[in-house]
Amino acid sequence: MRLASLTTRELIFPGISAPDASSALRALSERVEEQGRVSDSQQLYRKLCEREALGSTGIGSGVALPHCKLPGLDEVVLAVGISPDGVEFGAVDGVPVKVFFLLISPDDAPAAHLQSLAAISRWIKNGHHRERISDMEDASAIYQILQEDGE
Amino acid sequence: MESKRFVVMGAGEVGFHLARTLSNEGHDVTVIERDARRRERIEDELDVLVVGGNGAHPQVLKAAGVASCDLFMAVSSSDEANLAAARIAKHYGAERCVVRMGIAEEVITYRRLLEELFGVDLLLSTQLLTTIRILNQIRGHNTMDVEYLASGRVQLRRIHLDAESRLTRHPLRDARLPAGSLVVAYFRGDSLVIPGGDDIAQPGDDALILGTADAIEAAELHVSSAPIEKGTVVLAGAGSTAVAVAQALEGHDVPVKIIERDRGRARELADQFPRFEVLHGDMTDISLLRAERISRAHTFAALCGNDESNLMACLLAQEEGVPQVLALVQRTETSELWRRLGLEQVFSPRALAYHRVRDYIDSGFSSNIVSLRRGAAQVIERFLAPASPAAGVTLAEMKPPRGMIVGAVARGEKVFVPRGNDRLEAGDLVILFVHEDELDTVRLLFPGPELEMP
Repeated sequence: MRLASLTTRELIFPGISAPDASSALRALSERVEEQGRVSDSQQLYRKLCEREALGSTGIGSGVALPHCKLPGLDEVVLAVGISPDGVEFGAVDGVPVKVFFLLISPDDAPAAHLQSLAAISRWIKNGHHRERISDMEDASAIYQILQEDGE
Repeated sequence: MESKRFVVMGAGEVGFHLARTLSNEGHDVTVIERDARRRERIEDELDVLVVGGNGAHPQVLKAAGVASCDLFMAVSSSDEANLAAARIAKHYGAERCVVRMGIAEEVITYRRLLEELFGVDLLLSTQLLTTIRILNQIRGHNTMDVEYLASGRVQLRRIHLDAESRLTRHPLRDARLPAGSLVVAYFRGDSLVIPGGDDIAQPGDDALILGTADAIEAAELHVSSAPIEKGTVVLAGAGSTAVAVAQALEGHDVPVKIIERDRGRARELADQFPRFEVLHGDMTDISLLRAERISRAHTFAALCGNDESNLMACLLAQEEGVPQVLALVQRTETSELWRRLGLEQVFSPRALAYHRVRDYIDSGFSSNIVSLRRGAAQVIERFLAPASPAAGVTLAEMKPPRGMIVGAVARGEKVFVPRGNDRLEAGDLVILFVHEDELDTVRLLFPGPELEMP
């Protein structure tokens, strides 16, 4: 799966600045609503928090994959947020998160949701993607990397 | 191993031997013991620091220096004191804790809960260790170890394979394990192999087989080469170990006779085990044994709490010609004597507990039977919350890679090994076998606390 097929250049947000985890999730939710991909950023934010409550999606090395399912969505949506200063996110290794992969899926497509999540997780694990992305400030360049060697 | 700091609570047989071997190997050992006479014996015989008092008291633990120890071992004869002491030792900074408990049932059903609440890294039941070994001997099986999951409704068994096993003669896909069971891995030397359908095990491998409590016995028989012995099994002296053994034998097509001296107890057992024959009488009474044609039995197991009675009964059974005679022995130091009398199969709960703790120490503090080769793979139990990404997905849709096996699902009263079309649901308890490479992904797809609340 090529990650770029789940997102667009407009859904890559390089300058996310947030003092804590919930502000970061709120900021990401609002940006996604601004792009017209969800109708209610409040609802998205609540669903993301519900998932974080089960255990942080901070998978270590400065990367987090917040995710949830939402009613009324047409397709799986991936947004990428970059927070150059890092956000305390309760990650497994305690390292502040600089790169957020935010995945939102239609609530009647649990299989697509899970498959996309697994694909993103493995994409991050392979190669040097996360190091390259975390230093970037330009949406086009990040989008470019997402187009590389998808499974 | 480099020198480490150990604190042992309880200088009974288990604690004393642990303290002795560890200090002989050059480790720094402190022993907590409340009995003055036992303390004297340790001070005379061992090169260890001795602290008097109750190990469940914070000041005693502090004085023993648990704050800086690599391992705290609560192996006294009191379950409650052991658990409390472990919790306090962890609070003060002990790196790891071992707790010994008596009753098997508690450890099977509540292991995860107790480990979580009391900060225990290795929880062991002397009775469970003993029962597993005795059962193995009775059935002629090759189970090296058992881990109980989903409160005992699922088991993971490590089974030694020889050249005659179906798994060493056929590719896995043709080995046709019973429904409700599956092979998750082979241990081969120092490596862990997660097999695909084409793979054939090698003689000498240990197979890790996961199965529901109903299916695991059949699975073990299926991969074992030994013929099933059909003769009667006699359990003499119906203490808690005998009951645990009897319970495990209930699911088998094997006749069982239980001999119990106490009339009330015998009646209780007759109610508990309607399929078994329960005799009221003395296990050392030769006329009773003859009247019951003990000579035709396949196995005679003397399992009462009194060593002398067990010894006497075993000698009689041996004399009557029972092919397999085994006994429970409380005083470990006499087991050599038993062997000289021709009784090879003697099981000392304390010796087994000692060896289990030693294995834990010698493996570099690895408690899980799966991660004996550290970190290679682990078993994870998770409840699926509604917000869990895996909720609502079929196995086929999940396309789990080889290093991620969805081994079993407990849904309400039902426990099953899922196939491709089975859909995971919110509320399920899912048991996963995960290779370290897939651990990050599994944590994402199956989020939630490790804690299981039976």
